[in-house]
Amino acid sequence: MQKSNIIFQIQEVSKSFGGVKAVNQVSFQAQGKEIIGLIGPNGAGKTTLFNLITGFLKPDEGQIYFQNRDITNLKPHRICQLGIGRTFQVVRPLSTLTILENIVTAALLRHNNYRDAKEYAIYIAQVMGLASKINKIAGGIPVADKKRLGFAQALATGAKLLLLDEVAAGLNSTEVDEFLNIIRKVSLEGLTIIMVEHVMKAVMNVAGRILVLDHGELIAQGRPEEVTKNEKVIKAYLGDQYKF
Amino acid sequence: MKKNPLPYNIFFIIFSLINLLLLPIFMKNPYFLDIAITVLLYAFLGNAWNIVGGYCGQASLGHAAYYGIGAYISTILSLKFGISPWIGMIVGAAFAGILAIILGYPSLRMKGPYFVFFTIGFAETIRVLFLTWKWVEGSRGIIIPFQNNPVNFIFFSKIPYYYIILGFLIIGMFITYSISRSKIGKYSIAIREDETMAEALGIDTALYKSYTFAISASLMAVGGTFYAQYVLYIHPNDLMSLNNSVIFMLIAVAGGKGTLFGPLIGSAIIMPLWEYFRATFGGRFAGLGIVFAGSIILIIGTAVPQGIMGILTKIYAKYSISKDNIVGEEK
Amino acid sequence: MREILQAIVNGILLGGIYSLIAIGLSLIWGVMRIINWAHGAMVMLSMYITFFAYSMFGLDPLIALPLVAVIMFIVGYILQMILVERTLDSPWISRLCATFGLMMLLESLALLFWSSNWRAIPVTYGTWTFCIGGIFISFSRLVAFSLALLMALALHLFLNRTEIGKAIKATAQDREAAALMGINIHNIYRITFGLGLAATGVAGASLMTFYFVFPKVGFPFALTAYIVCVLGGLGKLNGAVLGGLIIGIAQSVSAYLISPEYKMAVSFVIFLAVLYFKPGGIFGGVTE
Repeated sequence: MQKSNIIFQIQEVSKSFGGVKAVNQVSFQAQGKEIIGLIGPNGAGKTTLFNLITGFLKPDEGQIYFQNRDITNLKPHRICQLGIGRTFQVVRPLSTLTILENIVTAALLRHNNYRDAKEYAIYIAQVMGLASKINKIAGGIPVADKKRLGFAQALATGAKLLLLDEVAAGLNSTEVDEFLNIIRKVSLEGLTIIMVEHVMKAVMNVAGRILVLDHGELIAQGRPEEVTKNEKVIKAYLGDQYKF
Repeated sequence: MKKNPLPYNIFFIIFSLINLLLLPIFMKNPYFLDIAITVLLYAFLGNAWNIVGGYCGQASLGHAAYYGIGAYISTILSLKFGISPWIGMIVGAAFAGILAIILGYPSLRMKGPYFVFFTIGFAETIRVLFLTWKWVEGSRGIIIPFQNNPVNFIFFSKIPYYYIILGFLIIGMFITYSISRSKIGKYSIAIREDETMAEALGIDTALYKSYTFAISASLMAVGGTFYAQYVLYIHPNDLMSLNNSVIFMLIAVAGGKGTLFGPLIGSAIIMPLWEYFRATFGGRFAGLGIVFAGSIILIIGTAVPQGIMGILTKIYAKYSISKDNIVGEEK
Repeated sequence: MREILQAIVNGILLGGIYSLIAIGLSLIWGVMRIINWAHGAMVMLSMYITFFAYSMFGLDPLIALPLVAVIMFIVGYILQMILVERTLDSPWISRLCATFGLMMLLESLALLFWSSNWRAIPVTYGTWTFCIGGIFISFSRLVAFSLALLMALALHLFLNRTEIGKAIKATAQDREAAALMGINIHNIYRITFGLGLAATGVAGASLMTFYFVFPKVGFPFALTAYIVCVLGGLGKLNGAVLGGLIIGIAQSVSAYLISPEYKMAVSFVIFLAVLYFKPGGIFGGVTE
């Protein structure tokens, strides 16, 4: 392995809801510029994990570190300010605002001046392929554009670690490929990405490392080729129609 | 779908401004001047409510409390300590702003109806407090002696009052305009649209809600001082009533909440009609004014939530090309 | 000591009525996620209906009570159908405006038609009082209290033992699932709103046995009902019952110990404390 560049660490984090352990003693690390895929059957706890990392939920036990800073109990906005951005599984744009305004709102985190924020937002829109639509109202655009918008907003907040929650869901093959290209590009520029995915083709092709969650536990970790052959993983998916 | 806002056409604004400035010259009748002053005052108050209710989406039904506090602070300071009401007005505004932050703090985490309950209960408690407080003459109210003198913020003719409230309104709307183009404004709108998403974008929702609340409350207090100096009699039930809080909200919502000119339009339409009902039907028919207001709220609530500005925007949209919009308007 | 006990007893008796009013409000919220800002005005309306049943037909409030309950149910059903239903898919401010506007309309129409004079019904049993261990219990208040609890019990049984009741509960839990199961959601909503108002009908009629009505009488009851609902947990009906009794006692005792003007302030402090420490209320109701 190259020299250690660990920017994110989660240690033995658990979370229960009314007696059910949604996340059970999960531990892993992420290095700068890594693209990590987080997969697992429905209900495995992936989104809960994201919510724990981004401060929307508090862990019952365990620690979370980002850039050597303990972020376990911080509020969501603080975590975002420190450099962790996310998208939501169910896209939530600020629907009465335009695409541009949506991104500007995100960009204001790093640019106090409205004009600077706007300039930066336009740049991000171009990266995401939304440049021609910046004046459309976010509530009325197609799902693929909403997903691009969510991604754009996360980028615009100046995130160093990006948590993508099922970004490929509901998109056609071309759209998925476009997203993967952006992910690769963005990772090369220095971002670390953890992506929850059900669309296997998407995540297997772009991730350097795969984590598999089942019933709240991390059951396997490794390169895509290794993980697909892992017995525990196959068993976890038995009965689901996901094909590798 | 593209956005087609009304162009805040600079010529139209200047034209209206000139009209407003010249109005007292043409409208000598003090009765109508009084209505004009009332319209401007409530436009100012509606605008203050709009900052936190329209742009930030926190529907407070307790704003009348700040209105009353402003009135009482400047009045008490002037009558008991001889401080000019102009200074008292600033003190009242500052106090209201700080109070909004302190008392607003517990309410920051309350969502939806809980928040509205809280604001209602808060205002009612303050009202009852003032009613029973002997030092501020509680249930008898305070009469402000008529000492005709600009330093005392008291004038014989209505005309100075007219220009003062017009000035306040212009300043208030300018503040709203600046906010809407600033970080505070954009963040407030995000909070209004989706608080969870706002948090995920790094917005300290508690902080920004506090900011808007403080600004809104301060402006309300300023309005309270003006009212006290204009009417020269203050009483908790006149100032801090739920009725008043609802009117502030109604004016902003009817005109178009979250828009710059909404409160002005709302006030211009509602207040004269209200006055008409009040004057024409006295006594138990005073209820008619509220029947009217209630009907408006009902209709707006169910059929036209965007208010008059919303209607105008739609009409305009059919006849124009899109532009980069200026303020984050509510659809 | 005896005076405090007296205050507590009075508080319990009045609290029962608060509970009933709050149950109606809580039910509407639990099923439809709407706060009926006109709830207090509905209490006022039922009180007036009871009054006119007396002044025009000589009916004693307790006799008129079932009739008033039915009338209010119908009123609720129709209101939901023609008004509230339209706002279900609009932003929450529409619902606020709709029910708030309704309240303003009702109060001002009441003022218009019936003036601000207080109206009361001189019931024959109005002065009957029991004395138990030095504590005086007014017959009317006791009956009102019992009726309130009876109605609460009836609602509980209805919701849990009848088909429609279970359908209502199902809708409250998951609107879409209920629809998929073939439940007519809009009808359920209308019935729920009707039931909520029927509860105010019983409360109003009961109140007329010892209280008086005027156009704004509903406001303090409404305010108290909101506090009770939050205290008990919005959507939790047993919470509303318990909450009503607690607030009733708190108001009564504080009126005695401090002064009657402060009873709303005390209720409000309780309200704040609950919101701050246990936002879900005593029984941890729905906080969204």
